[in-house]
Amino acid sequence: MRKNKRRSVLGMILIALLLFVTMTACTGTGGEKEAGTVDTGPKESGTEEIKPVTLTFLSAWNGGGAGFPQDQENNPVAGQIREKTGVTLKLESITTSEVEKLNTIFASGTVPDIVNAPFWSTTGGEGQVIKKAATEGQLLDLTPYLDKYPNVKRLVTTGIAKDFAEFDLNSPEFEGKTYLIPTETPDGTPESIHNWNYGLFARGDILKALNVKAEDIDTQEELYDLLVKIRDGGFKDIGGKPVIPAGTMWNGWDYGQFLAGWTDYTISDFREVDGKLIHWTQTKDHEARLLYMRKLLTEGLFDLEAFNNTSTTANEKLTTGKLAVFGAQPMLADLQKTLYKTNPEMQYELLGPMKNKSGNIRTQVEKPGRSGFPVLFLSADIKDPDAALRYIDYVNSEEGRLLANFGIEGTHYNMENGIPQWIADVKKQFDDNPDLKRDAGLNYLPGRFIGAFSSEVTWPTPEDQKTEWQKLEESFSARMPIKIIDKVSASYLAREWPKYQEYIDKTSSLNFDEEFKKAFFAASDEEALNMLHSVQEKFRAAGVEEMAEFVAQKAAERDDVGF
Amino acid sequence: MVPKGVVIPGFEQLKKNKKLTKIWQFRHIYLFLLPAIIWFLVFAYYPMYGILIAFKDFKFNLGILGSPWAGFKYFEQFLNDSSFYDVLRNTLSISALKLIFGFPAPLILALMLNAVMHKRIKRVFQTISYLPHFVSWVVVVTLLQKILSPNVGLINDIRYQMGLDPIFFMGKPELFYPLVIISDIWKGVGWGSIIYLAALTNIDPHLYEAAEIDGAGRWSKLFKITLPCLTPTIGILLIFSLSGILNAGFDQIWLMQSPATLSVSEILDTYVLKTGLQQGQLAYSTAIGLFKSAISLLLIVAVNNISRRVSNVSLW
Repeated sequence: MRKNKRRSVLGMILIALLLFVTMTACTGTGGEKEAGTVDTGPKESGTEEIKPVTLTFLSAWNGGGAGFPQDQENNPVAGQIREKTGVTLKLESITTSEVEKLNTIFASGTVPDIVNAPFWSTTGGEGQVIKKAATEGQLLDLTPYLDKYPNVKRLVTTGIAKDFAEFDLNSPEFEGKTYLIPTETPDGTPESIHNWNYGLFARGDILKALNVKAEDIDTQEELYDLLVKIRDGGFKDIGGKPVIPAGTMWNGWDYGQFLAGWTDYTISDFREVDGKLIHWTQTKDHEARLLYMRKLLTEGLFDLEAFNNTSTTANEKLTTGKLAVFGAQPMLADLQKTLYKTNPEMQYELLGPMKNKSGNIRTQVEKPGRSGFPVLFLSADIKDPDAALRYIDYVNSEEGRLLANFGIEGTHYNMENGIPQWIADVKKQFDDNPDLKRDAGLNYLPGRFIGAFSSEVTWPTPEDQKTEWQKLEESFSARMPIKIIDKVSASYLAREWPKYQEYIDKTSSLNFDEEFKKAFFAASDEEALNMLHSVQEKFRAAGVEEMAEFVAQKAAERDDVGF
Repeated sequence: MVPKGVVIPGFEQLKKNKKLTKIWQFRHIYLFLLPAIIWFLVFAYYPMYGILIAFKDFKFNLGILGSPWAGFKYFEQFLNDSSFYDVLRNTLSISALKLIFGFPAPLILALMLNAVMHKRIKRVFQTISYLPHFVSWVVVVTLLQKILSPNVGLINDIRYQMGLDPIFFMGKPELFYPLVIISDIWKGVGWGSIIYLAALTNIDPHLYEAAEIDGAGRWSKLFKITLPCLTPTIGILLIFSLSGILNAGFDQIWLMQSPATLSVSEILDTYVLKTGLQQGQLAYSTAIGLFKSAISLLLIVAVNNISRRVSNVSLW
């Protein structure tokens, strides 16, 4: 009997344990959420003792975690910021689609305390999701806090294109509230506009062997001829395997560089063709673009796997010199640690730059200020918004920007005549191994938290201190100009069209680029063109021609509209 | 024991009470069910209220219950969607092919393994055939991509050495279905055969002995004894498979999909993810998901009823 009782008691304990495990397994990240709930109470920065706070931070950028220091909390820069603000950040990043992550956190109500995400446009993609979240109460209204945090206040007004500021960043639907803090914006001067250096880059040793000058390749025909020569030239990668004449980074980014001959350098979704305004989906150029890409793919000139490369496979191809020509940015961060160390003769050279139909060379188009940038926003549920804003305000102060860009005074740099100068040994270590710079905490803040006012403009690197990679990047920038169009984008006029929402509903599940890529692999050119015409027809059926007519009429009524 | 036809007042109540008494008597054993019940309530039933999104104009701040009703708007939108027929056709094609080729594969493997007399060899084969089940689709598809890559793949390397042009196996729509079916069979055949092997061990050996005395050969025993004895198991598994005909295998297809094969590889599950999480149309994608579940439910009920009438094999 006693034995039975003991068994019964033991059984009950076991069951209770099982139940406890089951129940606690259901609580998810509750513990982590708690970390961000330390109440520091109302305070002015610097006037009261700052209590330690831990906040969660999400970098909603595919692969954005690569720049995070290995020790997130105790690297020198994070330590210094904690001393000043009391804030410790727990960093999280993603390796999937940005818009997918944003939808997930908003729909499930699990928005981290601070998020940095792309805010390119509110007519689709991430911008649309963020805007919906803001109007539906998921984001914290920052308006009451702005006067208290002058550096944050400056960010919401500086370096933003006039029309983007009016219709997107401060959309009428926000009803005067401020939800978003732009980052990576310029300070209003042309010098501070970052040149992203998109283009085509070809392996130097191959160009040399073919006796081709990189700058001579600037038309679609010349590019095609070069790729044919590469294919027939029997060139090898560092493993002795045949090269792929042309390719891209992950998921086809950025195959558009191979089609620069048909690129219009514009600021809107509309094009003026033969005196008529058309939507970009309707241009005849798509036929030529499609047939050109098909020619590259069918003749073995383009990586067949380019459109489903993962970042790992793409990186493998890049860093082994397997891609004779690639379209993207110069990818120096990856190459300087790998291919350029083992095979410096393979260093990629910028082709062209490519010219478009109008004879204009590959150009980055900007309005005064940027139209679309990364933004920071805070969760509506954040328990200590002051802590988050204190952090953002501090890292955007003069002192914080110095810390973010140069690290700790005396350890990483010394001030000489008001200009920070790297300590020679530290600079050499950082130049030789960028990972050391990252782990010191020097890489992630400028990319994610700091906006308006480029460090290069404030503290230009003296010529003799520039690394060979900085010089190389600058040489690319010098050849690819930035074009500034000081106009209001015609895209914004379309929003006044009475059937605009109906059009958005009809086209929301249409993905032109996806359909276009599908057509690359059609069985014949005829079938490919049919696929293209079919998707163009779907846009027409949704009313895209009527919309263009409306925009043309509206644009004629004013003189500050650009296409 | 109460004789048939005799009615004792209160007897039924007594019987029920006896059941309750028994449950109480074995309450500690019954308590072990609790974690499973809680698991089902939390993870299987509680999230089901989310299907309401399909009938709502979902707003983040108002939540599922607070958002305004949209009626059948999203179902109509899906039925009028230009992708509807393509997506449905692809889903049904892949599922049907998996059923035709994938369903008999474990049965055939089990019969083959059953015919192996040498125990050690049988075990080795069994283990080898089970292993792929434990490898995730991410790994399987990555392996496939590596082996079949037109640039660095083993097969194309061999073709290159032979002076032949490389083939983009993973990017040819006409090869997509064969690759899906073959990789699916490779991954699941061993695991699927376990249930048949268990059923085979339950067949009375006397039946075979008697058949041998009657002069039955190997094939005769297979068709006259083995397969008829396996019929209930085959029937039940077939009902399960048919009910899941709209589940073409999200993980596998999602990973194998590329723009080159999109015309044949876009299925309901991948379309739900794209419209829902990637395009932010949560209500619309929920409607598609619910449409799929409703059809599956109808299928399982119909197939079960047909099977019960035709072969007396059914789930309920």
